[in-house]
Amino acid sequence: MTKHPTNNPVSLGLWIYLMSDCILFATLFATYAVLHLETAGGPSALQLFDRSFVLIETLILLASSFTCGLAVLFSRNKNVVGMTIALFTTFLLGLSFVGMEYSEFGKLAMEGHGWQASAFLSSYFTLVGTHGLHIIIGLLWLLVLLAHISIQGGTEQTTRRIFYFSLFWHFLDIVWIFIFSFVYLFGTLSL
Amino acid sequence: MTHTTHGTIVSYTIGFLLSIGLTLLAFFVSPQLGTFAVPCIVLSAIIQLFVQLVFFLHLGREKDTGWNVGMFTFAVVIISMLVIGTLWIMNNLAHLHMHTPVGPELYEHGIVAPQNELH
Repeated sequence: MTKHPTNNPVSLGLWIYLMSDCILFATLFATYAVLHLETAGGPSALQLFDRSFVLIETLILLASSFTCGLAVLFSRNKNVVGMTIALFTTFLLGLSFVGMEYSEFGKLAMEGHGWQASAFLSSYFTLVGTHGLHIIIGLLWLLVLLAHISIQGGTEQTTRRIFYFSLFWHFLDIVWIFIFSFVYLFGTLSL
Repeated sequence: MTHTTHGTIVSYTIGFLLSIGLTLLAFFVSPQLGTFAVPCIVLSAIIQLFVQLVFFLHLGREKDTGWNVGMFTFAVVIISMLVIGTLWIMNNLAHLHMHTPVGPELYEHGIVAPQNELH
């Protein structure tokens, strides 16, 4: 009936972009892995990071991934109210994630553990900040999608656009899982 | 429509619940495992990667030509070379520099000692 959204060149192009973005994040992960012990005499990851706070961030991002998936399902049935609510919930969850990250960064910076304090903190802020920047761009993308839906309602184009957005958003969720595991969980292990 | 191959409410819910389960597992169980904490965290992250790839990004379940899977495999190869190569080289470098004198002993009488001169 409808053309499958993944069978067209735009979808493949987006996928190529996501994979190259993956390589960007891999370089930042490698940098962090090399530098994470170089604290220049300052506090280490174990002393700085708050595990429970980051767990809540993770669960929020996972929930936003799920509501984003719901938006894809609603868009396929051209359910305008459903996809608006799902996308708006995704937006709010994403916004709370960015807000929590902002307060976490602010707290570190206020206590004198900003990005300039050590090689460890420079690589930490670069890695986690780059992910946060992607989330902010995703939130802007969401606003454009919501505006598009409010003007045009549910069309074939809407279905495709929401699907592309969902690929980007789920991808960011996967990157976060690795930040959560390798930066926060490893960092706060006291062996 | 292609509901069966391309994500349903059931597949999204399964993916979501599995992701939450693995996240909580890594968070609560790994600190109690001592030396097995690291493998536990790595394993749950990798399982979660595949859970999300399959249930959320529908990798390999589409009626496409396999380009997505090919591109993903290529990215995995590049990323492994990049990360493993970086860690290998940088650890080797750190190891070789371990015995480099740092501090006063580098300098004798205010000049670089002959054995420490750069050639």
